[in-house]
Amino acid sequence: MASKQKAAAAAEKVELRRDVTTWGSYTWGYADVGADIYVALGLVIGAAQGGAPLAFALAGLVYIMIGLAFTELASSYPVAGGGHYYSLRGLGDFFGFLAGAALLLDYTIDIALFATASTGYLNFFLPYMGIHLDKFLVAVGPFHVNLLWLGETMAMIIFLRWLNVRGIRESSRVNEVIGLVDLIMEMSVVVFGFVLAWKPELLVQQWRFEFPSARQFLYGFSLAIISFVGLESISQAAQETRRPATVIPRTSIALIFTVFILALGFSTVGLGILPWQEFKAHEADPIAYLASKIPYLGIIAGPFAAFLGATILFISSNTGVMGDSRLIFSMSHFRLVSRWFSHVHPKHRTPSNAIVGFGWVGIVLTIIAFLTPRVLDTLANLYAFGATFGYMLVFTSLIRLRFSDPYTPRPYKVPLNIRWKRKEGGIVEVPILGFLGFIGVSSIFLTVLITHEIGRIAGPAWLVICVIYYAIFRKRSGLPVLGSVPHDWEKEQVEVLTHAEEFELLEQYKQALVRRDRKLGVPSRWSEEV
Amino acid sequence: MPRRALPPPERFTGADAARLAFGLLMIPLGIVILVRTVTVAVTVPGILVGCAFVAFGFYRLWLGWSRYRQYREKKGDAR
Repeated sequence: MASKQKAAAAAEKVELRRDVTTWGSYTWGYADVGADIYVALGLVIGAAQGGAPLAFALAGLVYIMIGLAFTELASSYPVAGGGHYYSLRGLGDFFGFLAGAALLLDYTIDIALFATASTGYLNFFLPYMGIHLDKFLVAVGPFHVNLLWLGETMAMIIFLRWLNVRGIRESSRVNEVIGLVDLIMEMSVVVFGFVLAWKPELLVQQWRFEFPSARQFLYGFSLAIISFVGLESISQAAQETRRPATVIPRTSIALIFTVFILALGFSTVGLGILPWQEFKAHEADPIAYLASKIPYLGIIAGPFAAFLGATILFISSNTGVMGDSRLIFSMSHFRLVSRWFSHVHPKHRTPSNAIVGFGWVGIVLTIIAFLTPRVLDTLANLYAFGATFGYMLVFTSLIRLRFSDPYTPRPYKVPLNIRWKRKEGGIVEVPILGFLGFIGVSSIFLTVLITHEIGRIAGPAWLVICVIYYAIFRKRSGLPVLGSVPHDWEKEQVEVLTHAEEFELLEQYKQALVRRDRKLGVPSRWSEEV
Repeated sequence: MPRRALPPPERFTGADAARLAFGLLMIPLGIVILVRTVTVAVTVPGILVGCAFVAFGFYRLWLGWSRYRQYREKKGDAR
């Protein structure tokens, strides 16, 4: 019995291995963010019409600020958990849980949305095989469900769960190869689109005469944020990234600008080739449709884009499974959810319970979404809600942590800081960009609440259910519900930096703590180690 | 705190060459988009994308060139 308990304890102590390289980190993020445009392009152009490039540009500006905030936080705190971890450290257990719940919604929707979209792009090939998707539409009571599409999506989610339980190495390799091919393909569609097919007069005509109503534009603008969601995948992978403090800033910044340019490029080239109504009609495969309209290359580019769309969306869904499992793993570690989730597979060293558990949630959400008239729009609604809510807490944490934890070395800091000397001594760099980002993301969140009919109900409902679970779990465990369990963050940070082999940062951190203790006139527990 | 630099590259790789080539291609593409947009009408999206391509192209060129210079310096030190 004792040996069994020892073995179980050892298994629990097994940690995620650092296996993700610079390229792996970039493609992990790109697989998530880069795939968004495959889903968002049709939805956003359908909503924002001639104003779609502006909707993408405005959402993109907010996204750049979100990206920079994540870059600072992920390189300073390279642990799995992302936004939830920063909120936990900056704002306490309850807000840490709340941010985690919002991001869990996002990752779970990510699994469902991208698996659905991936199979949607695969279905582009069905007519070539003489199969018509409409034939599989069946009435289930008042609902109409496409059984073939639903079946394909569920099979994909189950396959991804299996892949992820097997281990990070296999799934990271998948990301790397497909990410590169897709990046080249997306750039090619934009570049050849501009060179061979783009008509600026069509863009100008749509921009001037088919600009949508304010409400429609706001709806499109709030949907456009989904083209940029996923950068936090890099911070999710931080605990598995080699030399995270060096790798993450480079990866994130490269990714931010690549994705911004692509989103802007696709919407501008798209509206200069086709009228917006055609994108709305091809909501499920907009990029493949656009590629098929490029002269000379379209006959090959269309099917090729559909194939690549299916694959990149597949790995984006994979990123959702990874993100979900790592996030819940971290939440469990801090006793925000049951410890059952933090079980690490003794052989594959992956959080297997979390992967399997949230795979099921993804399947349930997929089935529910298929019961609504527009599957992709429903999932996109929820996606925008979860992301913006989580990001608001991330910006708050970024600002708060500058005050409460000025000692942690920050390999990267968001630009635009004001140095403020505090009365009790010490200098805090107040991040102006953090405030601007908070205002930007709050405006998108409010727009989501005003314009998204499903998101404004289902999103808060998800949070309420999660909070009820949290209250019950914490009460049963004898932990405070609104308060926080005492955390030894200094020890935690030392362990994090040691584990990440960031010894230079570790030394800087300990020296900062010793200086602080000297100022306070108290003995420092770190003085012997410096 | 300044961002820590990666160690100088061991060799000038294919990826570095691709970075330079992409940078070189993006600048004329951006200029073409700008010119074509302006000749029809001054419109925000076209100008934004054109400028973004030009800026990104210069950034890629700068990045590729910096790495090439670092590599040359390291090679010089080794001799």
